[in-house]
Amino acid sequence: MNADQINRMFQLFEAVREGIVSEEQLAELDQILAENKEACHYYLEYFNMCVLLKSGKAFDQTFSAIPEMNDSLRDMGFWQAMAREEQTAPGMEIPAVPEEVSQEKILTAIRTPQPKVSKLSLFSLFLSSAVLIFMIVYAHLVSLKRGIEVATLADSIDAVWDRPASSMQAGSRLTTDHTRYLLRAGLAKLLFDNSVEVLIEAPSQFRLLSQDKVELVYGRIYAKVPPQAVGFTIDTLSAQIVDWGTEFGVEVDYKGDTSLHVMKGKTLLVVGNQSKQSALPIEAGTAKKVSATTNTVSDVPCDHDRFIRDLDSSNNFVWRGEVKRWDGYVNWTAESGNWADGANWDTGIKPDGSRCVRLRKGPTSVCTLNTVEKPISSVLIVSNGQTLTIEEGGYMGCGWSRFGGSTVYMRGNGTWLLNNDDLYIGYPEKGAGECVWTMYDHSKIEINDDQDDGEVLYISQDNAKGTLRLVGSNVSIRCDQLYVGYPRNPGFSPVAVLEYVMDANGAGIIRVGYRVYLAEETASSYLLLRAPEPLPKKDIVLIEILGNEKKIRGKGAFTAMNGGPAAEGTPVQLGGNLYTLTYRYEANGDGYLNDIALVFQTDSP
Amino acid sequence: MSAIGDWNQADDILQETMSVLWNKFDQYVIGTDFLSWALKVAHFQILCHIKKQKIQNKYFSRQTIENISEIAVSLSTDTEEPLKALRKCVKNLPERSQHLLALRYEDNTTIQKIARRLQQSVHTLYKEYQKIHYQLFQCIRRQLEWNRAER
Repeated sequence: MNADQINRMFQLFEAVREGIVSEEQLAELDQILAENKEACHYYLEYFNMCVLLKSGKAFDQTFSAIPEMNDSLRDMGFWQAMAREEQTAPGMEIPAVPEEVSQEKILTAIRTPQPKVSKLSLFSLFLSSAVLIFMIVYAHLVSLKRGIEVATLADSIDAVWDRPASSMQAGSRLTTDHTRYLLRAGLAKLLFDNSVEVLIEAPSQFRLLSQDKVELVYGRIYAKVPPQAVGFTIDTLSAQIVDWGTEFGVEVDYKGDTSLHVMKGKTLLVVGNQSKQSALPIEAGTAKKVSATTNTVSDVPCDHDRFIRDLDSSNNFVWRGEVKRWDGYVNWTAESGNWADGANWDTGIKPDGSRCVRLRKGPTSVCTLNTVEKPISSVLIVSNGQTLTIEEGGYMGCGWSRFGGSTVYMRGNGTWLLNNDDLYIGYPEKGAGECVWTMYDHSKIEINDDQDDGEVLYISQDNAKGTLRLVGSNVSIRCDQLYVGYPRNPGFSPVAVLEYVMDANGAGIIRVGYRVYLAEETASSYLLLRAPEPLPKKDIVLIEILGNEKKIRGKGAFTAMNGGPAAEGTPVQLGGNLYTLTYRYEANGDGYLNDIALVFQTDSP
Repeated sequence: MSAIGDWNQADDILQETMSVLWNKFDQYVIGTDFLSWALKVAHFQILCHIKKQKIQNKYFSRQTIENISEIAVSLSTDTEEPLKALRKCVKNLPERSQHLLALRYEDNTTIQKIARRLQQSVHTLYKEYQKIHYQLFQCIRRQLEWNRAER
């Protein structure tokens, strides 16, 4: 057995000994012991040590070879008194062989003179066997520890529990018995005794296997594991997720497929059965899906706001990972006007960053931003046909921002700065619709955060349509990840359009920290290229990947370019030149052929 | 039922077994394997106990029990050497570890009580005891191997 196996086995021994062993752990240990006799040696040696420890003799200066097993041999005094007495006692003759023993044994007994046995010898024989007998007895008696309370229902919002019945309320204790807890509606927060916090969203069914293990039958849960509880595990039908000090969400859908989204730290994803098992370390900002039928693991977009990460029923607060909790809304009410004018907001003052901002007055309403606004911790929702224009001098710091049916213009040096969260251009808000976002002049979008690489620019999600248009070569975008088409939920085919209107110097560049997804799963990603004026006789970079991702994710290529093919090497005539489209360009000397560009071929197509 | 409960159950059965062994020693045939006979008696006592208590326990599989029994019978019944090794290893532990062991095993205190006394979480203590047990276990193995090598 190698060190890892021994270490694991020891953990199971301890769980048995401490009475916190789960059914699964017991089955695991049983399999090890049934298949490996070396493991049985370890088991016996371990329990021998426990028996000796429990005897208290390990701390006693007076030597004794007899483990008293605490008060278990309460009659030890009797045994010892008898031993003392028998030290001087004469030998005794073993009684006659009982009648029921076989004839053969009788014959043997007759042939062999009965030895004389000292009671002291018998006593020693009994006692020296006692430890071993005890271990066997203990091995038989290992029982499932049912009904151990390991967690508390800390809070819930509109929760309807089906099992157990309505008795569940804040402060209720949850146990490791066979109860399958079913949260039929609402949200719930559990606090385990080891300080692990688990958020559950209905409908979910789960079982607590031990204080550091949950079985998710189906539904969606989010776990926040403090350093002292590293090793916290979530079991599903198709996978096991072991925490390495982190925050992560797990979802089991109706097919039994398991999705793991790691928000912080690292987890270990264990897939497969005993005969063929694989363990994948999954890092923050990444997500995997495990098929219940094939056990295959595939990449999926890490969804930062898919899981409920906190809740507080006292103010009906629910947090899905946005930069800051919101406790209400600031709504744009004007038909036309400036962002900075408090009269244009239902609160009478312009947003100060403490509350979620909504611009959804209607299709004819225009909000103009031409001041420096830095409510960087608030959430921005724009929909219902609203127009937002960011003019010269407009500078916005914002958190998580989603644009449903809306129009956005950025002009002059207007800069949209999203400090540390995601931007959705085309989001299925009420009324869905299409977001068309056009950047002119020197306008700039920056969505990146030095703290992690998770900030994402999404163009179109689910049934929304998103168009991002970069006009001229002076506009620029910087983000950590770029999704051109993002099917978050099954059954949707998002349509994303990335349009470049180039000038004499080429195109505005999108610089991506480390990952680009094109036409992910059911999404369509369209590349539109226009050049109203002659283009330079050189290569034109469209998307530059700054990290060391060797390939572009998703389908790896646009669905179409200017209505035609968009495969590697597809020729395109633009601005008086002939180019070929490539997804394997080296734009920045980083040594990775992972940038998207137009390669200049000739100026006389 | 707690782990202590299991230990006590095992203790009870052991006592019953020892008592039965003593009373039924006349059924033991000198020259045959005493331990095997004793284990059979113990096994019978366990079955009686389960029947009596009507407890619904999950046991190890038959194969595991057979493996453990087979190896248990083959093991040395000498408890002196492991105890010496254990004492030596306990002495080599850091002071806090020794203190924790003494609290738990010498004073026979539950982890929950120790946690309250030390104002620590039960989980943290479990982890700490696990670490100490593992250190002890490895140390004892090394000691015994060392002894065997010296013979």
